[in-house]
Amino acid sequence: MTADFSQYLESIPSSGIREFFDLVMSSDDIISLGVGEPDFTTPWSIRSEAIYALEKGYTTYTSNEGLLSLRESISNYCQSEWGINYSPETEILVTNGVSEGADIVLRALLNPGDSVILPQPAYVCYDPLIKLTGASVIPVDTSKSNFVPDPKAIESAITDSTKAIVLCYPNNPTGQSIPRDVLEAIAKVAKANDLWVLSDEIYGELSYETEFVSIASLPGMKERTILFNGFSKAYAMTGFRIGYICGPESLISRATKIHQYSALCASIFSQMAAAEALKNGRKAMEEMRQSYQQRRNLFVEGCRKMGLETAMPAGAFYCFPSVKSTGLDSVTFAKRLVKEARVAVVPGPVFGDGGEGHIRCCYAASTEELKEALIRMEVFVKGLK
Amino acid sequence: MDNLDHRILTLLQENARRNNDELATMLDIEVDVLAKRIESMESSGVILKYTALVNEQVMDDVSQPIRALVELNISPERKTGYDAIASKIYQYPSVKAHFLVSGQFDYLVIVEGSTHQEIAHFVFDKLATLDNVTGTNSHFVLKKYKENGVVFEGAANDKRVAVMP
Ligand SMILES: Cc1ncc(COP(=O)(O)O)c(C=O)c1O
Repeated sequence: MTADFSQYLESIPSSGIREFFDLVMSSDDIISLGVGEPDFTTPWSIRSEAIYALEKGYTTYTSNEGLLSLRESISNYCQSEWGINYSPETEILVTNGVSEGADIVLRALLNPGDSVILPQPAYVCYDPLIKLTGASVIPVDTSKSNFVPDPKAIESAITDSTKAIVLCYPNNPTGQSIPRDVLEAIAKVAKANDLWVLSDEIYGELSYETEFVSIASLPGMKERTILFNGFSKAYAMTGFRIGYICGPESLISRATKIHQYSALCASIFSQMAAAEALKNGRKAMEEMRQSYQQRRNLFVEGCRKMGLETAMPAGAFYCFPSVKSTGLDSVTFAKRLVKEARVAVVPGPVFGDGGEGHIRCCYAASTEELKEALIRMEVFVKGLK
Repeated sequence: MDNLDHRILTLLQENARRNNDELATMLDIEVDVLAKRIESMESSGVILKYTALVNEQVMDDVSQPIRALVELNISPERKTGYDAIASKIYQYPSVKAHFLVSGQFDYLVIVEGSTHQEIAHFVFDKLATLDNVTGTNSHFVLKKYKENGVVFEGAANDKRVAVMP
């Protein structure tokens, strides 16, 4: 066969971090803070709903958009959680996780030659998915503004070809959120420059001290915002592969057109489980959030005590300590930490610009594991001096 | 009791051996505030005691205690009602728990002994013979699945992929 493949795909470098991941996967006896998901098993009432669905023979396709009853629940949820009013019929699509939602929205929106502003560090899917459409990424490094995107930096990055801004806050990997006043300033920039905002709010419910504000709820923003959310993180349902996108009918209907051919629909029993999560899962979700918050406090203090500067995360279950004081770059630090201290973390540069000099630690681990990891890390860091 | 007290209790009920520094950090409060909260819950009797939750089923000796849940029907006494009779029962050390319940019977008593006979004798000699007890129904525990919110077997192992961006 000729080795002539998609040129857009060829332009995406294969992950330089593969070697590090292989190292972690082949190491036994490590404490892993490198995971990207909750340590809770899905609450039983939600799992049992999926089992019930299978027992009753719900093994079919659903409509492309997803069960109407689920979209109605999602609509109510968006209203009660964030004060946004979406029509279940035309403004909500149930997807195979935010991952699929991001893919189809970007494909529905972008043409070759367009550009998209992506504040980084950010979750890894956006950069390649944008490039796969033939559009380009304009990274905006947030490390100089405490990992909160600076509206001025966004504004000055805009070019004639810019069509959208992607926001993922609370952020993976930093745990930082955008305060309301900054969000308002970003909204102003988007409106002034007629840009779409693609807002990945999958960690929105996992916000700690301050209540999460969705950019779609700001005046004049609903018509230019696509909200991505899902059940993976807040309801500990990563394996169910279920999420949703909400936004103006013009874009949702076009994304649905792709979804119809590439996914057909989300799994029916995952949809039924998701409906149960929205109906009866609130208490379990709040308990999980409280538990993450307590573990965040424990872990961040431990990092600071050993001399690693660490910003207090506002949400999600990650923190992003700086390892600059050790003199090592992120990848070297992470590799040696696995080999010498048997603790796995993720090097910051995996998440793009501004990640160098940091490591992502997921504190969704038991307090016993967190304490042991902190001891091992401290011995390692002290040994470097 | 406020929300902070409840959060302290939840953490202690999960693991009473967490030290105060760790608890204070997790709750983002000063250690002396925490110590005062715990002290006041201890002195008001909200926190009665710190004990170990034991899984006898995996003990490797033969001295595993045996348990029975005993239902008791009572004809309550005028004036003193159920409480006076209860105190004649729960003072036996082999009574590990004792509840007054609604429904078909009145007391649910958890009795522990080293053999089935010992428990049977206790129920027939000491409980059934009490003046106000009108009937008993004993259930020997065959297996303990969950107690105090803790599942006793098949502790979930971590199924997550060790590294994932
Ligand atoms: C910011 C962010 N968005 C999306 C995802 C993927 O979510 P889903 O499981 O809904 O596809 C992740 C997973 O780590 C994430 O961190």
